[in-house]
Amino acid sequence: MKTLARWFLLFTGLLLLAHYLPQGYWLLAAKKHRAPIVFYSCVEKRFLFYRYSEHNLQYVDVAGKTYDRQDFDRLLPLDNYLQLLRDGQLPKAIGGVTLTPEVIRRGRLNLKLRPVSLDSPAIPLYPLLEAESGRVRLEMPEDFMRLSSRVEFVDAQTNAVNRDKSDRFTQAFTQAGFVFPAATVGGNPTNLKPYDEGFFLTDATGATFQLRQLRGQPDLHRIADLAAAAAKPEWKSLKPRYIHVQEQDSRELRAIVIDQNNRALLVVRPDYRLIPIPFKRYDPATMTLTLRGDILHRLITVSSDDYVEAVVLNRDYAFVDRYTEDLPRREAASAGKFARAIFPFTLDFDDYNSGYLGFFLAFGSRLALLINLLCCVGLLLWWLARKQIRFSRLPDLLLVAIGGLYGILLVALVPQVEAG
Amino acid sequence: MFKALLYKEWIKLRLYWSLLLVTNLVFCGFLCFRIRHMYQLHDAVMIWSNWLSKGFLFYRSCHFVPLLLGIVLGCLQFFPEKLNKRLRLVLHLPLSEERSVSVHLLAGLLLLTAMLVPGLALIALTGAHYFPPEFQSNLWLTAAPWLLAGYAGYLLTAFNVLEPTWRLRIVGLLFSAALLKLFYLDDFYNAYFRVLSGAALWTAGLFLLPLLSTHRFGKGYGS
Repeated sequence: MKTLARWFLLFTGLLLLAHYLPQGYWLLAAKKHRAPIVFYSCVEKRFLFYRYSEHNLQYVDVAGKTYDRQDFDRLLPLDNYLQLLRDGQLPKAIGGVTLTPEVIRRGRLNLKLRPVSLDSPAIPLYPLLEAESGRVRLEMPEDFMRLSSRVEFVDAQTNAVNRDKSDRFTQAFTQAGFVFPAATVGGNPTNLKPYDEGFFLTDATGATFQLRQLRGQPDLHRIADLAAAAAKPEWKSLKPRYIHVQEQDSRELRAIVIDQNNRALLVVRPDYRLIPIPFKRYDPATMTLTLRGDILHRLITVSSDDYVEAVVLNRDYAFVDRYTEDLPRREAASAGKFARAIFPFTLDFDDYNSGYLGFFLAFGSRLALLINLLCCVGLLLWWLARKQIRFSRLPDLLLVAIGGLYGILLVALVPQVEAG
Repeated sequence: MFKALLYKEWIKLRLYWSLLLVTNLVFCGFLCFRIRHMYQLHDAVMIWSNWLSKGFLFYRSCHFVPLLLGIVLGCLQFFPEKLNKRLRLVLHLPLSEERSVSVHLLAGLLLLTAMLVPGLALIALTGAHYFPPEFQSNLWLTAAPWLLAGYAGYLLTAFNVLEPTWRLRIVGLLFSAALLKLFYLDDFYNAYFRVLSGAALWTAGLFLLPLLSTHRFGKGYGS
């Protein structure tokens, strides 16, 4: 039992060192590592970038030419209109559109979809706002909706189910052909927004519905029935995995849908047009999607640690331009190569792409295997010099063969167990 | 012999255990009164919204309580054995040293459970009054890593107190701090859901460590 106890201590120590030593190393060795922020100049019809170096921020174009901040602002008048207005340099019109601060502001669109949104703990209770209350501002409802084998509304003040409302909504769901339980629920559960898009739901068969509450009554429709004729087949075959709803002042976009094939699709007003975003590479589990729109274009960017891609669409969502760039990974820099050589493996519990903790193991380079081997030889020589070579030390040697430097530390710190 | 050892531990710890239980209940009771107070001052909708979307948990303040109770109980149970060398008597009982120490540890774990569960049950009962049924699974899944930290804290305290040499004790203390920190990596609800079984297994394995210390004590290390 005590031998087992020592092995357990060594094994746990190995995992702890594989977690804390690389963390400590990166605490000292980490350098700024940020993907560039991509812009699209409506003046010159080309991509521009904020690039972060170790000490400063650079304003550059695709060719690498650097600009001073004022010139950069002038190339992006729709992004920097307030500054240009202050400096008296805002153009009168661009692309035939007369520019006023109000026109520019109303045309702006900003959405962000992070990987963590797709994979985070959530409690399946949803506030269904009143979308047409007749009031100027949206208000939070008094109850929360639960979607199980029926619809239930739980009143927050009394903590009791509102039977009447629950029955009314369940009947509406049944009449609309909704098959319980709901597979996906997408909504924006806040009243701090200009209007309410309600919830986008997929039922057990994969069909997508939109639910709103209008003056206390359910308003549930199968989207394939609401969509324009051209979009109906697409909606019927669509299998959403995640639906991101984020109401905007422009009221142009209803939602972003991530389907089972990891495609990102925009749902555009008024007739639920489905626009697949033509990315070359997009993995919703690891990449952040950012959509920035203005009165002329939609710039949609996906970025991860090692890749950035930007796609420009016009106001009719037709493809205009694309930019892709492979980014150097942290592991590819000299500090990263050194880390992968000295640490045979690292254990993390958080990968920043999920709201859940997990066990994330990453292995070192081949050089780490060589270092492990050298550590084994060194340990054998040490034991030989001290005449301590015994068969019972085989597990220690195995520990060093697996853990390299971690193993050496543990063998030095944790004493052997005497027999008997 | 098992019953006798369990009874001996109960006699030794009952006063401290009662005090710790009352302290835990008073603290959990305070948290329950605080949520009642919040319901008096704020809208229920706002409290529910904060819980659902921002992860507000009225019982979050008690996340270190199981760990503290585990460490304190471990100290109260094993320091006297160690300081007065009473552990030597235990090791001379007509039981193997592993069995006798295991019974001591089981007694401590039972007392710790009996100390922690009433506090959480009080929170669960209060939660059932103010929150929907979803709150219950949410509470137990969120509090599970804190409870495991309590058990791990107790077992690691036993390991460090019983360890006879300062060299391994210092290593053990560093090891314990590094391990216990892992139970507090994220305080959003249900964040540990995917690692709970691994964490539970790991915690169960810690039962072995005090046996190693006792073996070393029996062999006369550090004396």
